[in-house]
Amino acid sequence: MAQFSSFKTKILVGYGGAFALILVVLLWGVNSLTTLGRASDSILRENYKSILAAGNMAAALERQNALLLMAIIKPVPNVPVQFRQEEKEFLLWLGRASDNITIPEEKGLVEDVSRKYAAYLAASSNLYGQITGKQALFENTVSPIADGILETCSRLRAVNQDAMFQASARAATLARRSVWSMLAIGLGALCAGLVFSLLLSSRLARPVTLMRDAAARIAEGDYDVRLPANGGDELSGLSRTFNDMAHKLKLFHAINISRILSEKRKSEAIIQSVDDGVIVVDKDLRITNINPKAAVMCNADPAKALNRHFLETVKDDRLFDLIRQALKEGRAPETDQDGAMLTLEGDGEPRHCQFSITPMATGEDGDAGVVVSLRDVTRLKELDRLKSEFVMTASHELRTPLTGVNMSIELLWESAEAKLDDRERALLLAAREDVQRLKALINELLDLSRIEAGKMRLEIVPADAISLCEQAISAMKTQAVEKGVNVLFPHVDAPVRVLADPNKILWVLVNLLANALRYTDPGGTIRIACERMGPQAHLCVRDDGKGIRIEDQSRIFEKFYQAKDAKPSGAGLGLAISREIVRAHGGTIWVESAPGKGSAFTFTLPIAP
Amino acid sequence: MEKRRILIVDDEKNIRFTLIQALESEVLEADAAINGEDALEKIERGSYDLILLDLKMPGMDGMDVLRLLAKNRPDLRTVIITAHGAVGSAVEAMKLGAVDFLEKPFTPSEIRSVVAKALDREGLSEEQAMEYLSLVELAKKYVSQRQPAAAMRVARKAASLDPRRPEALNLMGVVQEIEGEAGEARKSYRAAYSLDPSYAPSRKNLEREDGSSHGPYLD
Repeated sequence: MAQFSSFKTKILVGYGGAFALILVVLLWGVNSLTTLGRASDSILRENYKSILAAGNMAAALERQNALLLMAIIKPVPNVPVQFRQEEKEFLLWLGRASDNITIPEEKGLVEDVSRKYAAYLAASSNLYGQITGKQALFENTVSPIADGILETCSRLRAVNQDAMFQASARAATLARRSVWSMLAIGLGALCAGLVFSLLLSSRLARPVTLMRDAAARIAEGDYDVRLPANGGDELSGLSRTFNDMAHKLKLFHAINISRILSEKRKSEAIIQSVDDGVIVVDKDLRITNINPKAAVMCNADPAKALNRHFLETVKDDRLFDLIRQALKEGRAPETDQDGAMLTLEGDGEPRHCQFSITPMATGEDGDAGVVVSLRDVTRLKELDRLKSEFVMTASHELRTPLTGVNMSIELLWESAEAKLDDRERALLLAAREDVQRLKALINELLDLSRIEAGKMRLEIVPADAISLCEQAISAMKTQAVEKGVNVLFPHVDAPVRVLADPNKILWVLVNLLANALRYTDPGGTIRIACERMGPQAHLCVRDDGKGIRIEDQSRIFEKFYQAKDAKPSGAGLGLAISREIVRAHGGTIWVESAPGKGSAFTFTLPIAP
Repeated sequence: MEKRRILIVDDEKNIRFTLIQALESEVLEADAAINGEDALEKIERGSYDLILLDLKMPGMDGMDVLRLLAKNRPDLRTVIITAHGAVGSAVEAMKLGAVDFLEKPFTPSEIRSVVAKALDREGLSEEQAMEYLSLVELAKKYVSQRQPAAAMRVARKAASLDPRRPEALNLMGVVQEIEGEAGEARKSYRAAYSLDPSYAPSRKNLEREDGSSHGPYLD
């Protein structure tokens, strides 16, 4: 607590200064008032007594003169008592006057009165002793003395009155001076107090202001700010704590910064090193990051592309629209595999790129953006094209020798009955069967390359799914009747309108029906179903044949896959092609089957709006 | 009755041999040429009722032969042998009057059937052709004689005779394609296909890319 006492002291000193000033003004006022009082008092005490004495002396002398006159008229033997009394009265006031000499002139006058009065008393005594001549004595001696005394007395009074006036004037001056001086000192004290208060308040407030500014700077991210903390008071303590806090914040910040920096460096390195083109676009559709691969793809200078509008670098309106859509909706736009392709002119020859758009998580600060990755699939496409070309060429080239073999075997077979024995016929039959298989295989390969080449050319129109089913059934009717298999298609009440390329879907249905027919024993039943399920139509071909083994079910849609117990009938491409077609329609195809209980192939198609 | 004479033109020895083996009979006599020049020479010297012509041959190819024949021997009918889609331009072949196509790998019975159809067609006349298939055959005869308008008329007649069968519609599509009406042709193919999805020619015609080298398909 001791170290904090100085802050209190500061405040106390502050107030103490003001108090001291007030005290000075108070003392000065008291002093002035006292001086003034004393001046008034002295006027009364010093001059008024002398005036009173002079008056009383004059009155007593007048009365003695009157007694003397009476004695002239009517002589008395002795000096009357009355006269002595007046004499005492006179001497009393004379004594008071001599006791109260305040003015230098006064002393001479009192002494003059005293001397003259002694002469007067002596003359009066003579007058009372004489019998005659009183009149003359009085008129010649006593009366002039008495006049002299009276004159001196009035002189004494005048002197004192003058002195009184002077004192009064002095007191007035003093009072006026007091007022001015008090005013001056008061104002001075006020100013001093004001200045002092201002100094004090600013001195007290300064550390707080500094602290506020420092806090503001920290808020702005300047963690190097330090406060002076030399004192021992509470504010200095607070400043020290504040500095401590700023230091710790700085360390914390530095840790975070370094972590963020390392994350940033990591993602930079990833972006720069991936083999795909990566472009990061901010919410204003400006490029904030572009890796060398993407720059090469777009034939752009990475340094120049930065912070420029996306379209300046990647001139593809469709991709741009998708990016804008992704930014708006905050999720990746839905495109199928073929939709997510674009062709960039890049450096020289065009590149086929598969792109994907990933929106970055939108924070509360709305710092949205998207990451566009571009995968150069030119080589893959080329490989794909070469593969298709190879398949096409190979199957073409295989056809001529196959024709020779086929023709020979068929011609032999025509006369085999008559000319060959059983063993030879069996051998020829084996050759014939495998030639048939080879033919089917080549045909399916060609179908596949045709479908693969043509899957972009779906002619999607609103179509009646029920009528498609009926057409497929009618196509397979002859074969079904020949094999003795029932094909059932229960009546469907509501029309099922789907979005489909009717020819492709017919192909799928016919293929599924042919498969079902192949694996259904004579007397068995195939059921076709077509129903609407929400936004999709389900088309189903169900047989009661021998079913498909569990381990085969997941693989029968793969190209060239043949179930182990499948009847050799071709390359095993029918279901693969069906799946390609259904997928191209945005649907799915699956099988439900249990060995011995038949199989159900179902595929979906989008319902027409 | 005099034997009908057929000339087989193919550079493949075994194809020639097996074709001769398949066709030689009491009524047919088959001869073979190993390339285009040889074929023209043989046609010059002998008289043939039908040519089986492989389009893909080294040197003078089938199309060249077909062009020369169309110019010099318009009476001579031709069956084109193709290895599925290897036809340079089937439309052009049809314009030159070749309506019959044999696609490898073929069987002896297919060969005999095509040859029989092509030969029989020659004797068809509007008076005789009353039922659907013979009308279709007659239309094909007109195509082979390079009379597309007549072919179209007869094909329509056939189509109106049995609107549920695809062959006439498909043939109409082929004629329209020869005439350069691709859109109309596509409509006809589609109509034929939806009548009978199992009828391969119209499906294949539909699946063709415009300007593709395959097709059109008749059978």
